[in-house]
Amino acid sequence: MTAESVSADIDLTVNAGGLALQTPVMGASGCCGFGHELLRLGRAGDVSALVTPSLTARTQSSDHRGVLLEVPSGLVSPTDRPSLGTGQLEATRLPWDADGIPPVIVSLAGNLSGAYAEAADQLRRQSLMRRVAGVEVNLACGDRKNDDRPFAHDVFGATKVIARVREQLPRDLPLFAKLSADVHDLVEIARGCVKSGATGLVVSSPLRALSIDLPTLRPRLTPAVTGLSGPAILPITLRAVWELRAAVLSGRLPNVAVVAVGGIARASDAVQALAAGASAVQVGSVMLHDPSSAERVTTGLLAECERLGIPSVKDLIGRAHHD
Amino acid sequence: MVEARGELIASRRMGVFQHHTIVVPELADRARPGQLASFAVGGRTSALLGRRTLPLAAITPSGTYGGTIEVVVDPVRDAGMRWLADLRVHDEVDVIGPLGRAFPLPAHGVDSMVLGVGASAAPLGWLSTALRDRGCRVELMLAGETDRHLVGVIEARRVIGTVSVVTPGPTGLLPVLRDELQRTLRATEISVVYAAARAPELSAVAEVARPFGVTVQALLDEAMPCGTGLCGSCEVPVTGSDGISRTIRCCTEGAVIRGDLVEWDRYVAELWETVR
Repeated sequence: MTAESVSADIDLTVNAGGLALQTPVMGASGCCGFGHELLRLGRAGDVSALVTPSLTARTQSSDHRGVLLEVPSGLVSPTDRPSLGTGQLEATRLPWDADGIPPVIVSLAGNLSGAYAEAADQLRRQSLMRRVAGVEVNLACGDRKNDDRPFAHDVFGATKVIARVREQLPRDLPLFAKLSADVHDLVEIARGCVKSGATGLVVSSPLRALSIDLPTLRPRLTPAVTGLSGPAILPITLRAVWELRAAVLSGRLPNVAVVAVGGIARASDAVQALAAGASAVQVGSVMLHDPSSAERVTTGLLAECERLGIPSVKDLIGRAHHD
Repeated sequence: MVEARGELIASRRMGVFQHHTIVVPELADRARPGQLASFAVGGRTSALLGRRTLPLAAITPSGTYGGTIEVVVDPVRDAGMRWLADLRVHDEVDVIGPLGRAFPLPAHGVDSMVLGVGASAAPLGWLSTALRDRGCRVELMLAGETDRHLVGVIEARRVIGTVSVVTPGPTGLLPVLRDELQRTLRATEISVVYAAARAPELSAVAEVARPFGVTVQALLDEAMPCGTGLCGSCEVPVTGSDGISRTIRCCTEGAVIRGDLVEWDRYVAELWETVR
């Protein structure tokens, strides 16, 4: 039997939080654009789902441009980047109906639970909603009613946002809560989100970080809204995925799909994330360095399944928890 | 836009900069002056996630080695540029291009000025040739921190005939550049300025040109960490023809932008923004 024929027999499909995916490799929010960009590169088919940059209730310019600061194996960037309003999806003529565009997952952001709800409400009313396969709630935004502390750092804040977004969306639409690994009790926050209606969990959003401008010795970006992403945080992502999966296995968390994001750059990273308990992975920062990364991760996953002699990538999920 | 692996086939010092010629036939066939190429830096195990996006200095669609592109690298800008500058002949590098909007060329001959600062001036020889071929009269002005920061003076003299050179005075480069540009615009019938530089210099060019009613086509040579529009971190604030303020991505909707549309003060301030 040739390698090609073995590859053809390997099943890469997964189900993540009610979302049926052709492969476990999704495109992360903020690193894959709205679809135009991957289409122009001929890379739209490389990801099984495209998570949009975060949308807000109204288009906002933010206090910062979306500056990216390069650090070893990572990027430091503001988490409150300029955003498009969900009410303006039509006007911007997104290519979501174009051939080759994968299922679209809309990322929502806000600075009050009501703002998330308003964003979801407006999204639901758009005709482009027919192309929305799921919603990811970006909980890294600061809560204006809680001293700008990120929603993802507070079980009450996170739970409230998920509940209010869930109310606005069709009951059968997959809803993902994007959490931060940089918290005291991740499982507690995850449990609140699942109870409020999240069908999947995405870990981890960028970790809180800081960059100092050398000539002025002042923070380069506002510390409250500065995050680190990229391969530098992979071990933290893996630990967070492991923790959530372990909580499911121990009964502390309801059975829920986990999606790994943060540092997935190679097939070996994706294999580790799946083994730790992720049902799918999102490829982010590395797409900026090499837009073929998603394809390489998928090809490598296939090779890894072949090497392990397993017929379905689903067999990799949670393997690290087995005795 | 193509993704390709290019082979460096020639590299030479150009003052303080490094001039590379890279075989990328798919890219060389379709690029125009003002367009960009984006390079993955640091090799296969790179810790540098951002790409380095540079204006193309020239193309040769069918050279001895197949189509080639040329770029001028400023090695002191950052670690990624240093890596790119240090590449040796026969090294390979990942390239994406051509990217962005080219300099719009006039349908018929007009009096034009071509102005560049430092390594950003790399595409201006190519542009000047294209303008001359369309019957334009071209005034070329090259500026740099020292005479070793001037790009393509000798080559430009071959094409244009006369080239003016600007180096810093006691108060720096910008005041001299402003004065020289103002003097030239006063003394000539120039109707369009093609400029390639970093944001502060382009801001000054746009400001000086405004009272003369001269159109500025500005190539913004600022950081574009992906070059493909994926990251959205090279946004430039502009005022549209409808008067509404918005942002455009320098790498996909620029890097050549009409100078009078850019909100320069905001853009320059945000580029080096720190928290007060």
